[in-house]
Amino acid sequence: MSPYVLQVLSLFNVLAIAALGLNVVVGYSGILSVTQGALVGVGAYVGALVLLAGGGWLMASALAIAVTAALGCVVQLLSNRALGDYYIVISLGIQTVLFAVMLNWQDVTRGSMGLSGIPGIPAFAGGRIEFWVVSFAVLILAFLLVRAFSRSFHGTVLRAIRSDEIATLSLGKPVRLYKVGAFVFGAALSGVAGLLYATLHRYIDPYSFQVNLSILLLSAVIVGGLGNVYGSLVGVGLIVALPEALRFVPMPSGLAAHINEIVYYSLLILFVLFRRQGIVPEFGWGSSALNVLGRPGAKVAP
Amino acid sequence: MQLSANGLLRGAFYVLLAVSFGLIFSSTRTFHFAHGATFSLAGYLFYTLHQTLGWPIGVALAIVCGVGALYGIALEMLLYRPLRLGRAPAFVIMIASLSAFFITEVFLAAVYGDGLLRVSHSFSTNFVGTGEFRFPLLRLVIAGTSLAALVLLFLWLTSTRAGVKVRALASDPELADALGMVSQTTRYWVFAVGSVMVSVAGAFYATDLGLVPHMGIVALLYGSVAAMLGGIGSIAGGVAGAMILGVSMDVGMYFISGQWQDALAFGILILVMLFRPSGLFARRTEAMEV
Amino acid sequence: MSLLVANGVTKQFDGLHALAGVDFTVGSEEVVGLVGPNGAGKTTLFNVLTRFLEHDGGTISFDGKETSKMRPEQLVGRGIARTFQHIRIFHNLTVAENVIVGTSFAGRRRADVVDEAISLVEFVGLGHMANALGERLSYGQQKLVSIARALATRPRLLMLDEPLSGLSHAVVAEMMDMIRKIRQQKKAVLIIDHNMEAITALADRVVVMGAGKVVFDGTPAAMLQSELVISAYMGRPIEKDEN
Repeated sequence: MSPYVLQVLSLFNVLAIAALGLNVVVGYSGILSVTQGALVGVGAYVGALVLLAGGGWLMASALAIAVTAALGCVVQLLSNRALGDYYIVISLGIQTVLFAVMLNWQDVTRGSMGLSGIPGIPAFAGGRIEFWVVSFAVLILAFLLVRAFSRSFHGTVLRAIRSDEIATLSLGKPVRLYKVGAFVFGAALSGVAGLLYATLHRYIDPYSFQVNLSILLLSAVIVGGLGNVYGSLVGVGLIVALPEALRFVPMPSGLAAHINEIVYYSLLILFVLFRRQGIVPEFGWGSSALNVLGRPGAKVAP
Repeated sequence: MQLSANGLLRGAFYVLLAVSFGLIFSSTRTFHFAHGATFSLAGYLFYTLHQTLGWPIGVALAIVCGVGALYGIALEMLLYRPLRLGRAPAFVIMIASLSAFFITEVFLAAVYGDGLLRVSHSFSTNFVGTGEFRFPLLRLVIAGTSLAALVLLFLWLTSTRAGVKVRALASDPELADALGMVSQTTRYWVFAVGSVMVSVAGAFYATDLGLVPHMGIVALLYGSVAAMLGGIGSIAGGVAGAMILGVSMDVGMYFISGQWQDALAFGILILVMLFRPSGLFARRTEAMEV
Repeated sequence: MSLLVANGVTKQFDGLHALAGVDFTVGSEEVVGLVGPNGAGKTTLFNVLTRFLEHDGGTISFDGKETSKMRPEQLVGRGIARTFQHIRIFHNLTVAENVIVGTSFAGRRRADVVDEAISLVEFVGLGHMANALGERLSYGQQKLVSIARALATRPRLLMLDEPLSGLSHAVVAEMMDMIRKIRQQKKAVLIIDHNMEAITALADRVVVMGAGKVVFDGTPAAMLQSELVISAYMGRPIEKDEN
């Protein structure tokens, strides 16, 4: 298999992990976050810095997760107060602030020069296949985790929160806590994705983690299908495959990147206009809605 | 003193952004992200018309405003309205608006490239005043224009039929709709007027700081931050928010280096939101609707 | 024994006195009807009692403890559950899931929680629709679900906001039966409704509100004969002791 294809598949794994995290936040809980790109960046920088300083993989992973989770907690607590529609502005603000930190905290992050020479996956000479295997394993783990969570009662409460926070409060559930928890979960997954991203490309700079990444992930989750784990995978698949497909379309070379982006955003608009539930709808394949079939007395609904 | 005066001038620029954004949001309840794209579009178009083609300022400005208004109206007609009629939840509309914003920005980047483009004019290089109080002429022009725009807006909202309907829409959308007082035309007016205001700001920005591909975020950021600071729903709040933001920014920049500018603006917003979620001058704090 | 006690509760909205000094109690096993013309303050009182709205003055206590510092979800933990006038069920959840959200499922076996939810769903007569999505339900069915899930919180006091409005006669009768059954489970029930016939049949006590105050507090029979109540509904200023 050509190294290029492996690279693409590996990128899929990495983005899928981040998308699953975002799905928990946006799809299940209904929190419209555009901060994910920065959170992936934080995971990437923390992980890279630890690795470059000689700390092992365990420490890099642990710290990447811990820092992004803690950050996620702070972010959500800060923005909880924002009423309804205003939340997205705060989210955008935090994304911007984090980007500014990555860009300007030169002592630590080396700003726009970025961090290079990040070690690849050890143990097998850091090859591409090894990375794919490891990242795939992590993806499977993340997938199972998110799926189990979505089928748990906590997942049910989150979906209730998305539908009606006040009604959820009236049933005694601590909504604020749940939202923070969901956000932290999503942030931790973003952190993991960030660490993997850093080790995939061996070089990171702040420009990869701007609001574009947040929107990209958001569109993967939305187009794929909000609230459905398989949907997120489909969405990321689309995002990764699209530039490759467009390679076959003749266009002036300088414009390739721009055309890619325009196609993404247009897709997003089209889906939002005409098929809001995404490719795999929430109650479609692999739905997390509890099926209480088989309990005494409960029969299939009409 | 110079600092706060500069801050006020900066605030005057934000006023155009904040009030236009706030106008659209409070009357149509649409979080018009693409407002930032109107800003960019106007700026770049102004550059092409005035700088590249050499057309006189007045003409260029008029055309730019017209195009801006059309853009705003087109978005309402083709995007927001169908979504509203399809009873899309608010966040879906926001995402659509964000997408439109990015499509426009990327398109502009493709056409104009990544570099900084600037409209040069005597305005931008002249200073007024002496000694302690020197102000860039351009900034004074912007302030003057903002003031004029506010006055015009006020007159429009209070004296014209369309304006009055807009106010009705802003104070109680459901009631206005139910009473049949307000038609889709009113909504188009709102987008037109808001877009014109921000287009003017875009043209100024082209002359003052110059055009870069992602300048739309500036309009969006500062416009929405200032509007939220002041409390969306009141024009006066938007003005106050803009002024406060302007002064705080200038004061803050004195202590922090320039690259942290955007972060500073948001930091101010987050701080305010912690204590007054509805904004500093909101008419009523919104309680939970049960 | 009084479960819920409200003393001198006031609430203003921009100068409008929605609640102008309300004294009000609910005992631990009674059905209390809360009635009054529109705008009398019934739903505001509900919202204040369940902590969805802050009151300006006066005290409220539940089971002996002051509630003015509690958040709404904490109050539910103490034993008050409510439904909403505009029925806020979760449209993207099934009937069973709606009820499960009300249960305290922490640390319990999954099967036990599901069984509890199913038995509540059957209690309200929707056993055959346990898997139906909220958005597919009819108005009456949604009302039943909102009661079932409120019951899932194991309340001592159940507060129902207009449970009978918009329902056909047959369904109203079913609802009334269910409320009686709930009362038999040793729960207190507070009902806001405009259906006077039903209230007088169901309630042990009726509280009538007018213009932000309690105008009458007594048995249904006495209420029907009270001049005070009639003036409250007619909108005349209340004159003391017109007998």
